[in-house]
Amino acid sequence: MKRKVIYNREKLSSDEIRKHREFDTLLKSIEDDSNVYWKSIRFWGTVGASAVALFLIINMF
Amino acid sequence: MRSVNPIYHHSTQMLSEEQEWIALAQENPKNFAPLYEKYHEQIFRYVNQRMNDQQLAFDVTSQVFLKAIKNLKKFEFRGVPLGSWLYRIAKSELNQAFRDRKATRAINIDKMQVATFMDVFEEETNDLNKKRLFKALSKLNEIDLQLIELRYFESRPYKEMGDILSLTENNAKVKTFRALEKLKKSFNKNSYL
Repeated sequence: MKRKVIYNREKLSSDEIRKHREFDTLLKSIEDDSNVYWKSIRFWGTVGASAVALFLIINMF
Repeated sequence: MRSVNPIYHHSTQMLSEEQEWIALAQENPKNFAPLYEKYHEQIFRYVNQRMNDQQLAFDVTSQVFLKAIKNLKKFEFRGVPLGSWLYRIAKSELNQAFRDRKATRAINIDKMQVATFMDVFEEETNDLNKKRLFKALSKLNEIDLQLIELRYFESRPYKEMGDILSLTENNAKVKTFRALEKLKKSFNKNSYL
């Protein structure tokens, strides 16, 4: 890890920090994330069941 | 006199109000808004103090809250403010940024803090000693550096430091004392800069 000592850096005011508060954007990214299909239990359930079925079919013949 | 973080140090009434907000936010993430407003600035300042890039510090701060909201259902109230949990997430997100984004670990120090160290080391505040201090700080291991930053740069009491670093108050005190001793030893080694 690179390290750097910074002397007397200008401090940001509370107002400037407040401008970066974006709670709605944060919520939206959580909602978007939960809507991603490949991350859902349903997706992985389907993939798992298909894999098991394929394995059984291959072994049968 | 050491200043006290008024947002961190809660009265019983403030703690129970926060507990109610947490319970509501656990039911619906939209209810996290008052907690976000309460802690956004202090978490940003904690992250920014350790980073070289301000925009990246804002990004990491957003990641901290994103993770907090996603994992809030797992949070168990143990009588300490939510802040200590958020600081622990921030610590882990910072480490991830240093590792994955190759971000530079910044050690931000100002004139007053340099003077404080010179007082502690019983040395004169001049350019040479300043360079010796910077070199000694950059050579500290990460845990010792965190202790020094929390105590001497951010003026946090040992109780709060313990909550952030998952140590007891007494352990935080002992480890900080040892970290300061190491810093002093390293500073003295740099006498021929």
